[in-house]
Amino acid sequence: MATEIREAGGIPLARPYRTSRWRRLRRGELLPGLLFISPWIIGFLWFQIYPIGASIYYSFTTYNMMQKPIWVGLSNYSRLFQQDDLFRKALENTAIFTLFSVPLDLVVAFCFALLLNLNIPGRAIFRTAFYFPAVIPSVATAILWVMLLNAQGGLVNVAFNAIGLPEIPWLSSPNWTMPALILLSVWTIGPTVVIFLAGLQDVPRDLYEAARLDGAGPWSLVRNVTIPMISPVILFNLVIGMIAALQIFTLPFVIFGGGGQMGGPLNSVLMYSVQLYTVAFQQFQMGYAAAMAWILFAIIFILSLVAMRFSNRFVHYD
Amino acid sequence: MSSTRFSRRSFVKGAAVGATALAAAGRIAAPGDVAAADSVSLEFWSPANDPVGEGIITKLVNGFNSTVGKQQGITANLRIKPATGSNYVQYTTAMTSSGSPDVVMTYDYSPVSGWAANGFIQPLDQYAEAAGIKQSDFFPIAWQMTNFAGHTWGLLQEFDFNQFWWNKGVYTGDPPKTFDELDALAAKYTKFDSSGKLSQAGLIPWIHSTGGAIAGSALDWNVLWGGSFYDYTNAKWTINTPANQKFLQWMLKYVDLLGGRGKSDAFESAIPSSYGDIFQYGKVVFSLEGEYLPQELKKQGLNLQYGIAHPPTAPEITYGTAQAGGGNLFLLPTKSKHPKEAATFIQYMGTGAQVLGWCIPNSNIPPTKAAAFDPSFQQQLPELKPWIDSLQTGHMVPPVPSPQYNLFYQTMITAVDEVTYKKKTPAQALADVESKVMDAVHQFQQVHPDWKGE
Repeated sequence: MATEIREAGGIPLARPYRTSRWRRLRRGELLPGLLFISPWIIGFLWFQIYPIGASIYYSFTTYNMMQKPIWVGLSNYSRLFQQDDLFRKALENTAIFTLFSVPLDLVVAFCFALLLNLNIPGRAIFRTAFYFPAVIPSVATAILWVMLLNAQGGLVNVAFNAIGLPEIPWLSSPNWTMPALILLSVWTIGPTVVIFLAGLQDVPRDLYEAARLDGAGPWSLVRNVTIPMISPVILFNLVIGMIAALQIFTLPFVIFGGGGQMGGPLNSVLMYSVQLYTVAFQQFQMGYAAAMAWILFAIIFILSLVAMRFSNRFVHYD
Repeated sequence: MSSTRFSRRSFVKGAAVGATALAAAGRIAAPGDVAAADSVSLEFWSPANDPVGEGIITKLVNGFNSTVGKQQGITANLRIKPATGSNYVQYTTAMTSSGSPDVVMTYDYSPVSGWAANGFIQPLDQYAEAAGIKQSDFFPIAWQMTNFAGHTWGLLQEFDFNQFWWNKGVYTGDPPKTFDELDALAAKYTKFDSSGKLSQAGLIPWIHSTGGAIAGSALDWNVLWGGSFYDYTNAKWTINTPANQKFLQWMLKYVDLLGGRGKSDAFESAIPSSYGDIFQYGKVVFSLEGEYLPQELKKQGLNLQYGIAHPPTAPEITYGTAQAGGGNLFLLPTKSKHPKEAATFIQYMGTGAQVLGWCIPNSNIPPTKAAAFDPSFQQQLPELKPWIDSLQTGHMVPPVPSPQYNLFYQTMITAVDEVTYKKKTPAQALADVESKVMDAVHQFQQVHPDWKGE
């Protein structure tokens, strides 16, 4: 196809012969390229897109994996909100856990990152030590902490006794199970610390020098230089931490899921994902569980959107 | 003029076609595509990953392969698939697929009714006669546990129920036969230390015991008090009744005796559940425990001096009544590729010397009369006499054969918690359980109208 050649200052703006040859070349390579990446495409479609689509469909059905799904429309969703108080309890517990554990983890991780950013001897050892809990499997972590938090004889209560504090029934009292789980979440902040550390090391040193010249003290440096400069990292850790907290499963399942008591005493730590698992794999209500999964997705999506939407008020980008 | 030069594009095209051809050729040449030999190969899944269990199951499967299997051209291939904490998720999902095992074994009774009602397992009815399965071989309770909703769903390898145990190192008298006697003894042997913490408990009715967690204990005590959560004749739930509230009202006495639920839980948590329960460590004087406890005590190296008898009962209840709890079962998945041969394997494993071969080393109750009255069983496990006596009283109550059993179990735990933490009255707590279970029953019946019963 001829293309009008227009010149500007003697330089042709279009070379039709080269353009159509390039397009032919590109089209000719398209098929082999697709063939080469077809394993990934097939895997993506079969293991990601198809399950997502199927899950949406199943959420509108009654389905037990053996018989054909039966369409029930919005019945699963309405039953969740109107009739299922275990769903409400699980949602409430998960929200409380997220509300307290995410800020706590962020603050503690940030403080550790500040300390690990200091130029002290053995810094590498400290960094390894702080990250080490994150590489221990969650199940092993849970079993370890069951023993440490034992009400009579666990090391935590032994330490409390040594300083004159009363023993706390961390895992057996409905008043203390949630605080125990929230404190346990701090154990695995290693990756958050590492990400904060990377952010801290990217802060230009001259900003600190300039602030010191203006008379800024340590706290002023953190508040007015460090935090604004790593605010994108804070946002990232906030969103990732929130997503992980809303989906917490392994710790509550292993610690409190014995003997069929999935939610601890009085369902005080019945978490959303654990209840979803129970509905799906112990009560064989896959459609109902799929509806729960999509509600959780919606909650996470909305909260992430809100965080991103309001981030421009507190996130500073260079 | 056409170019004969080997261009980059032609190389890329050729490589892509060649890779696709190789993949297809590899599939064509894959092993396993060879036509099957005459013998039938069964895939048998068992959760027996403990050292004793795995050894016994392996021996039993090898025994089948070298005897009945060899005669009938059947080979059973054992796969150990652990089911941690009674979670049979891997089994459930596998049974829905084309890769379903041909026979599954469970260490628990809890998934069975749900699997049956939802079509994960198929009845053995049409294969039972050919496989030689006869009702008269089994104790009535064992037959009831595997026969419900009009079908035979599998065979038990062993089953469990609790008896009344006491610590002979603390109490040397006769076992109590009534609740008044038990309550008096429990009060006498409950002690606190100088700081007000429990140092010894006479009885903790809601104990997280290996004899069956909180809900299991609730089912036991309810039967002993004359209650029943299920009408087995009409296959209907009967949850919130005055009879069923009695055991919860009785439990409230122990909440006060033990200084509150929080104190007793803190006391119990001194022993991590993976190490056993607090009765085994001599901290509780009386308890309901299962028949496998002697083996557990040996495994843990515990030197508990114990006595065993029937639990105390309410006046109108026959002494020796017991609630059957769990059990090991052999089941036939719906998608089993060789159901007839699988039924033959199930019959072999669930009867005869094979049952003894499991029950004696594990100190378990056999479901068949021949095994229970076998001299070798009685000689090697004399402490299980109370269990055999209970079987002969004819006052055994089977587990609830409802697809809502797991939901009931979960909500019953919460109900016991709510009553013993004094958040709700027994009537309120049972009303909650009833509401949730009946809601699930109605939902289930809408999509499974053919299933008999609630």
